[in-house]
Amino acid sequence: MLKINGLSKYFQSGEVLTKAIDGISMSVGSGEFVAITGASGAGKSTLLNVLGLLENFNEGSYEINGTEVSKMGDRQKAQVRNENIGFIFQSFNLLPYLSVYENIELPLKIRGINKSERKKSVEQLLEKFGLANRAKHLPSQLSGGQQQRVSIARALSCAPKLILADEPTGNLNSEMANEVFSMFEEINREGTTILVVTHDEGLASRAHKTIQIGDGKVMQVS
Amino acid sequence: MKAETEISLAIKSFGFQWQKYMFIAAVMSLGIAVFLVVSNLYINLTSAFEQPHLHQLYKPVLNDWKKDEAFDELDSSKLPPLMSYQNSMALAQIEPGQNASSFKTEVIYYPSQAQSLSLLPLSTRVSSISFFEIFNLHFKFGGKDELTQKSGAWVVLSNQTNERLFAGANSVGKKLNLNGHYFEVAAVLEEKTHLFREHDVVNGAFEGSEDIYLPWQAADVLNPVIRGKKLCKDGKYASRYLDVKEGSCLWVNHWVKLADSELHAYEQEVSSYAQQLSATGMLTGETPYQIYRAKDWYEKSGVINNDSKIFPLLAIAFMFVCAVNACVILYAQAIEQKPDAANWYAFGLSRRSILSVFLIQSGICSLFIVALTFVFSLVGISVFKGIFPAYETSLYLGLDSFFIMVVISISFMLFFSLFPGISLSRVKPVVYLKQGGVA
Repeated sequence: MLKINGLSKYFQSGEVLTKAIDGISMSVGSGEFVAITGASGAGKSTLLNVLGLLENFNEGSYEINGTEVSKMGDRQKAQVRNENIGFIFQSFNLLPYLSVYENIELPLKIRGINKSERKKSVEQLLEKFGLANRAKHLPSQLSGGQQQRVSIARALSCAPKLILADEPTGNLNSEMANEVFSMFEEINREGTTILVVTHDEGLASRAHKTIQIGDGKVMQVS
Repeated sequence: MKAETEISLAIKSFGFQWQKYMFIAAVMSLGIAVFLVVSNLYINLTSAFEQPHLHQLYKPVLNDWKKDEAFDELDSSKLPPLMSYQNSMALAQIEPGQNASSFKTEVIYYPSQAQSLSLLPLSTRVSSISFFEIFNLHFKFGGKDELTQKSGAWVVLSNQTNERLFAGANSVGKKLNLNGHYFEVAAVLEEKTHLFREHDVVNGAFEGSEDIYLPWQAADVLNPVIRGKKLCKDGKYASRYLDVKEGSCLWVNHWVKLADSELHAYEQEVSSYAQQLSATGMLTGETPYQIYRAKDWYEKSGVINNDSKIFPLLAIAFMFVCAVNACVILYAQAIEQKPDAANWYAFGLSRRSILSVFLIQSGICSLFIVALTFVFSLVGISVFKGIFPAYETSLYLGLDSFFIMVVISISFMLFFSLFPGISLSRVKPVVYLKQGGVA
């Protein structure tokens, strides 16, 4: 599904050139559950952002579903993000002026799905994640765990082939973190590829594959 | 992505941050409202300059008037640049029926017993029938035929006086007792919408408007109290019409309507006349006469003085300052919206769509600017009219003002939104998504 070869990402600050990703090559097959681990500043999040088409890379090649990313324009990338990728963030990043229902509905709206189909999909997700009674609530009226469930539901709303999660349990207690990973396992069992960045070795071990990153390079794959 | 989604997102986001947008709208609309009110006033003042008939109006000025010398009413050696009655009448005989001389007086109206009014002083302009034609004054009731039929016994009412005395009904044929003499109403003038009354070139641009108009023959009978410049050449004051007529006072403005082809011949006549007067010692100075076009006369009289000319520039400057402030707030708004934009971007909005969403928000804001500008302009005009009642009929918001308001509001907002919008669309999503600046 994802194939990267010699991928590098630099940051220039004055005369100092920092290599956040330094020639990483790897591939992720369809239906895999991959955990990316590593110390702070190792390049985990940068790698995830590049894979999620949120950030450009400087060198190497990146193919998603057989299409070279460097040849895509902004609109095509936006379409790929909308249709193929679901994002889950540590800070949830729910839009504060939209209700739970509307936050989950947003990617469907962007995709141009009609209202009745959107309603059907959102209601199914609300039911699945136990949020049906919170549909009209604003994010500020929810607990951290509930917000992350909304965030996961939103990521799944367009039925993407790939979920990218950046420290999704960073703001949750261990019980909630376990719950979130259980959800990931369930989603993965339904065929969705998951790439999750985490510090937590215990949670990472629940993935099919763990990639350890250090100094922008792949240190170990297990 | 459908435009419907961009609009929906823009409205939701606008609703969440409406206070900031309202602040932008208030700042911007204040600037536009000030500009509209001031420019409206200025246009009304200056539009009189562009009346076609003014280009055919000429005034001969005799004697030693120096154009750069200020007129001092209390100094008899600095008399106004006018022509004496005797000179004027003599010159009028050269071109009978094509001149308009007039001056302001005051007569007393004696109401009939049926009326509840007490004795009413009326501001009166003594003039000829040609006066109305030359200064392009239109009649609401009656007209030139009625004036001609009644010879020297007519009276013309202003629309306001007709409202006051006859409740706005057609009063042509009704009789008025003025200073104990009866005159028949021959016509009623239309209400003038411009503050600037063209025929005020006779005595100055902003003197109070007239209640009624009477012919010269009536002035001989009534001998009314005169208004305006009363100082005579010999240092005496003239208080009544006959004092002036029979004295050596300089006061009568004498306007002639001429086609271009007639101008040269008229100039020769005035020159000849001035030489005759100079030979008898009645005129002194190096330049015995000058002929001015009405439009130039406005300029020289300072009808629209330099201070007034600065006001539109100040209004534009104020609007610009408001626009800059609105732009800065808008830019700050765009920066605050970057976490949102990062989120939209992550879930599939292209950069162009992000720009569209921001521009739609600005468009919504510009509608509020139109509404607020309308309110501010109405309030400003009301306050202005309250302080300066003379502007009652001349300052108003017409359809053209409303159109200008809409165009300025929308174009300003879209123009000033462009830079913040582009900046927003170029958001670096990873910066804001990692920080979790949204929820």
